[in-house]
Amino acid sequence: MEIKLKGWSSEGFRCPDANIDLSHNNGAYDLSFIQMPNGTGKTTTLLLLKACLSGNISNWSADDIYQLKKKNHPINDGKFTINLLVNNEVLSIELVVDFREKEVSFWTISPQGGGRQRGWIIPNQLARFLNDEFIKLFIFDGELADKLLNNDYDEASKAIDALFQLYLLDEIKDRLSEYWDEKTKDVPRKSQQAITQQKNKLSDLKELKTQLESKYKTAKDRILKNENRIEEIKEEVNRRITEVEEFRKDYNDALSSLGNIKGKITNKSQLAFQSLRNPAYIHENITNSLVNSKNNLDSLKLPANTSKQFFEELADEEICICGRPIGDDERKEIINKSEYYLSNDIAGYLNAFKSEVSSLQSESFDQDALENELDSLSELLDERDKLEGKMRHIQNKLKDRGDEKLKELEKEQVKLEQENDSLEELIKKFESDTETNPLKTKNISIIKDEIKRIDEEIKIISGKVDLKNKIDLLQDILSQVKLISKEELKVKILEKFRERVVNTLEHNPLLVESIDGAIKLENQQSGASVGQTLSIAYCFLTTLLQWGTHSFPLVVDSPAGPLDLAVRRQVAKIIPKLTDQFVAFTISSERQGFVDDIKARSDKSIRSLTVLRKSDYSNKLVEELKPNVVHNSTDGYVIDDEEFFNQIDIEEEQ
Amino acid sequence: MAFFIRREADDWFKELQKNELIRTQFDLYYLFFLKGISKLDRNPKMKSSDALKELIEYFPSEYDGSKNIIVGLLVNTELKRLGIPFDHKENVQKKYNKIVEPESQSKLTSKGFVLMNDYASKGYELFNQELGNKSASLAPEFLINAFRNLNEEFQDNYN
Repeated sequence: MEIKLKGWSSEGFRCPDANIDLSHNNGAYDLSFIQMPNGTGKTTTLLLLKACLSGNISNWSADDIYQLKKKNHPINDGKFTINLLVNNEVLSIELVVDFREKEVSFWTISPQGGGRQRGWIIPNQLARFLNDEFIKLFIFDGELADKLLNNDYDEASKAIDALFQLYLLDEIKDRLSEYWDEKTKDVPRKSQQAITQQKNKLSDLKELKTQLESKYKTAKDRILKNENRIEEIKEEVNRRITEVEEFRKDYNDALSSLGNIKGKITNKSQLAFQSLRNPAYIHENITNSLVNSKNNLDSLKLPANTSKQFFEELADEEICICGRPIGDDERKEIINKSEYYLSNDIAGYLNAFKSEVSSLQSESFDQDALENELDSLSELLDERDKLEGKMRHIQNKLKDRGDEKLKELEKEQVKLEQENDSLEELIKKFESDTETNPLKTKNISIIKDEIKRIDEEIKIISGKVDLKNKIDLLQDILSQVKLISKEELKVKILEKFRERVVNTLEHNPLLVESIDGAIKLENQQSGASVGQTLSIAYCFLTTLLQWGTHSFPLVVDSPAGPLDLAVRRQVAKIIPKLTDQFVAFTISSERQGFVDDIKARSDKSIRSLTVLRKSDYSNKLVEELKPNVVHNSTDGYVIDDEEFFNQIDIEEEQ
Repeated sequence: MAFFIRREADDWFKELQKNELIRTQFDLYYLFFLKGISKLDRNPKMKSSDALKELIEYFPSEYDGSKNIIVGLLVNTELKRLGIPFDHKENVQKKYNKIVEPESQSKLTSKGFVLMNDYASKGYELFNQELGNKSASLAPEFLINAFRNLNEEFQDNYN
């Protein structure tokens, strides 16, 4: 799927009437900058662009519709048209508003679809991408960038759902539940009452489960966030202490020794655990018991030549090896006795066992090895405690001298640690609360089990066990499909995403660790900077928008607004590499270090338009321009002039 | 059949893993098993899937050098618990048949798995009472305490 934004036109809305043409050589400009001072209607334009694309205005109230109307103007109708090129074919969508009736209608214009038709009539192949969730990815706002890297949200995961439409699997599951509800209406009245009762219970429990699961997730995320903050505090404390000349050397020495000791502790612990995996090292009584057992096996001549199988086979015979016939009683006795002989194949095990025990009797086996390792581990722990004590002492000295910031940080750390302790307790409740009443417990597993039990009951009362089993099975399959697909897609996306990050941020490559709910960067405990967040968000979104043979435009409002100059230059560098079509709404202050930098670096086709609302000030500004570069409307100007674009200096509507 | 650990032990595992002390949850299961056998005590009641979590069907590779010994120790413990002398040939052979399955990767029969799981289940309860469930957050100290605890138990109960 390839979509290009060829432009849009607007009449009768709060934004100035304007025709924005981004067409270029049978396609569209690679990079387009629409400079609009604040107050010129950027927000309205973006809202209308999104509405035309999705055909969804279900959340618009009558008042919302009326608010879109041009102010102080005797106009009754509004029309916004978006012009697209979809797989090289022209498609336009019109949004027409009757402000008196506060009604909205859509029209679709496509030469292939029979000209202008009433309604939002989009081919299925395209419609799958034109939903609110997906549009959010290519009509982009800065808030999404923050959320993509914030563990409190799962926007990265949702973005993958949106591109690959995994949410459809959930919709099928919901539809199956609705189908089951319909079918259970169709049972005798008495059963119906019982079913209704159970369904009410079920609905309460499901709500409770959702609430607890949400609290559980929030608690987990909060702990992670607190842990990251605690790490930051520790770093900040270290920095503050080492800033004081008098303490610097002692503190740094202790800090470095502590790191060293901690490394040794980890190594020694792992080594000791490796020894512990052989139980003989724990106590000589174990070794003795094993040796005793081996010696007894030797003296009992085990494994012996006669095996359990010999007697089992003999019991199948009619005549015994002594020549006497084998009757039922004899057969039973032979089988019973066979239990007291080892099986054939156990010989292999016993020989391996004996050989392992022999190694415990060899000179190289040191019974005290583990104990000695743990003694030296104890010494390392003492050293660690001493170093930590020394560091605390220095920290206290600085606090005593009145370092308020240090006190604050310490207080914050204690508070976060206490909060984490309580959250851990809460999580424990969610996992293992012993209260067994499903409506009172916090144990999510108990509630899940009860939901399952009531489901079973409804199934039995309704007499439609078979149907419910099929629905359950299908819903299970759908859940599994979603889970597995998502995991596999994540792996593939992660690979492409990492590639894109490395190629795009050549001089400052960030390493992407994982995509779970959010994007996680490696070694970024203290969080990414604004520039990093935005760069990573652009890389991630364009990885999705350019997936396979797909190509979607990236439309961004104020792409450089919140960035300082250095970060702007960094982001400006990556923009031209990211996408086939980039459309940005900018204000004049975003030119320096961003628009100017992009233009200077790029050999791509570039469109620069300025949109102004008509006023005495703007009338004066355009007076001096050549008439052919100014497109005049009832209340606005669209100025197609590079020099004007580069010189005008209006942040706010005058 | 598989090794099953008590679900409540998840917290312990998280802490110990965070401290890079243990690699798999089986390591923790193994400590619980040792604790159970050190007391010659097992908990055969804990069978529901709510209380237990399936771990693995075989010994992890870290136990390649000691798995036969561990299975042998299980046989010895059962003989001790039931008061069967090690030189009682018929009963010793019967016990090996019951517990050991040489062809399986774990070297255990279904009964062998059940016994190990029962000892580990009891061991978890005992450790939880004696060391407390917070001790795992201090991983190296936990290792030393667990060793000392086991060492004393085997001294007292495993003559």
